[in-house]
Amino acid sequence: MPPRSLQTAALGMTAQQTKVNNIANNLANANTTGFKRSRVVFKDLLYQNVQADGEGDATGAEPAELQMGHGATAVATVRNFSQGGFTETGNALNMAINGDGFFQVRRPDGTMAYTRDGTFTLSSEGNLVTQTGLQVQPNINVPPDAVEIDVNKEGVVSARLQGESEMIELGQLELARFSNTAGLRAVGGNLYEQTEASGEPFLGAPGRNGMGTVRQGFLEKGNVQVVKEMTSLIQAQRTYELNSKMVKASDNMMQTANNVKR
Amino acid sequence: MLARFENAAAAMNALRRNQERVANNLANANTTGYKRDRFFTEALNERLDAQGAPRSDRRVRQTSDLSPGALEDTGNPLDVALGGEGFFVTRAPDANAPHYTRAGHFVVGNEGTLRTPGGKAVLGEGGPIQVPLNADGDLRIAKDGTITAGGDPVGTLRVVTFDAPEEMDRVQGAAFAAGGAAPEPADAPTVLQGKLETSNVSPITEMTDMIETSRHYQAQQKSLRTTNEVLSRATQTLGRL
Repeated sequence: MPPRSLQTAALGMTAQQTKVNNIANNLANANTTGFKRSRVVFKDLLYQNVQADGEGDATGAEPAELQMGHGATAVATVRNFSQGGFTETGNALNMAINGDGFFQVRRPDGTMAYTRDGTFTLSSEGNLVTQTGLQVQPNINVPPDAVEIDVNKEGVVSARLQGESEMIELGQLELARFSNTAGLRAVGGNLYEQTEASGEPFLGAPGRNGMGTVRQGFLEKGNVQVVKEMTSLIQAQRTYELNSKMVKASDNMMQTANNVKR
Repeated sequence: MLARFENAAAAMNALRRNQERVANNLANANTTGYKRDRFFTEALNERLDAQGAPRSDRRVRQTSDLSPGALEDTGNPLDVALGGEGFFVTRAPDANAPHYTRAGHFVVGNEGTLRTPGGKAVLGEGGPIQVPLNADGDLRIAKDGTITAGGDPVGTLRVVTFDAPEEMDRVQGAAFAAGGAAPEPADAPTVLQGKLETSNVSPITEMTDMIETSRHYQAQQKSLRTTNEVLSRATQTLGRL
C-alpha cells in the first residue's frame, strides 16, 4: 500500500496550482479597468483516526489513536473590493468612482449588473452605454448637438448644446451599494451580479449615504498589487516545490520498502 | 533474532505514519489558521525478553503546535484574526457539538448568516450571527469581537480558551473538536479585523523532519536486510556442518 503521504503531497501540489492559477488571473488583469483582485482560501481535509501499529499491547497501555490528515484543498476564492488607483484620460465619458458603489447597467436579458468600470460611450441613440453596449441605469440621453458634457461629483450630468452658453441638466447618475460586497458574483466583462449572499442593492446619488463620488475624466485602475502578487506567486511555487519533494520522499520510502528483500 | 525483525517492521510502520503527518503539514503550509501537527514517541516497558533480546513497546502521541502563525493583512472586512490565545466557535449545520478554530476567514451566507467558507455557522455569544443584508453602512468588528453593521450592533463573536487546547481532536477546516473539555470564555480577547492568521507550519522544520524520517526508514530497512543476511548466512553455514 503506498503511503498516504504520496496522495497528501499530490493534493498539496494541486492546491498550490489553484493558487498559482488565481495569481495568474490577477496579474493578467493588472491593467484591466475596475478589476478587483481575488485570493484563494484553503482548508485542510478530513482527519481519519487510525490505530498506531502494534504498540502498547504488553503494558496494558491503551493503543494510541492517531489522527491522520489528508492534505489541503481550495475551498473558495474571495474578491477584494478595495479602491484601485486612478488614471486620468481626459475623456468626458470616462468616470471613476472614488469610494463605495457600482454603476448599474442593464443586460440584454433585462437583469441588472454592476460594474466599477466607467469607460462609457454613447450609443447611436445618444444613450450612455458601456463599451459592450449595455445601457447605464438610470438612462442618460445626450442630445446629438451637445458640445460639452459635464459630470459633477454628485453624478449630475449636464451638457452645453451647440450655440448655447448655459449648461442644461440631462440626468442624475445613481450608484448601487451592497452590505456584503464580497458576496457579489463576477460574471466576466468587469460585471458583477447580485446573489442571495450580497443582498439587494441600495441605490443612491453619489456622495451621499456612504456612496463614493464620481470623477469625470478618470478611470479606476485594477486594484492588483503586482509586488504582492509576485510574492504570493513565489510562496505558492515554493510550497508546490516542498510538496513535490514529499512526493519524491514518499516514492523513495516505497522503494526502500520494496528493497527490504534483495 | 526474530525480535529484530519485529522491531524494525514496527519502526518502519511508525515512520511511515510520521511521514504522512509531515506531508499533511506541508500540504497545509498555506492554509489559513492551520496548526502544525506533531507526533512524539514514548518508549514503554523496556526489557530483555527470554532470549535476552532488548524489547520495548512504543506509543505515539499526537499534539498540535499552537504557536501563533504570522498575521497577514487582507483588507477584507470579514477576515478576523485573534491577537492572543483562544478560538472562534463554529458549528456545522447538522452537528450538535461546536468546532473551534483560529481561521477567521468568514463569509456572509444566504439569509445573512455569518459562516465559514466550509459552511459552518460562526457562533456569537447568543448563537449564530445574523448580518442584516439591508444595513446601510460598513460592517465593523471591534477588538472585543463586537460586530456592528452601519453602527447597529448585530452580535459579538464568541472567543473561548481551553485548559489543554493542544490535546483537542482535529477536524477539517483548520478546526478542532473539544471532546469532553469545557470551553471557557477568553479573558479580554483581541479580535483584529482585516487580518488573517497564516499557517504556523515552518517549511524548514518539516523538510528536516521529512529527511530525518526518510533516513530512519532507510536505516530500519538496512537493519532488516542485515538481519536477514546474518540469518541466511547462519542457516547456510549450519547446514554445511
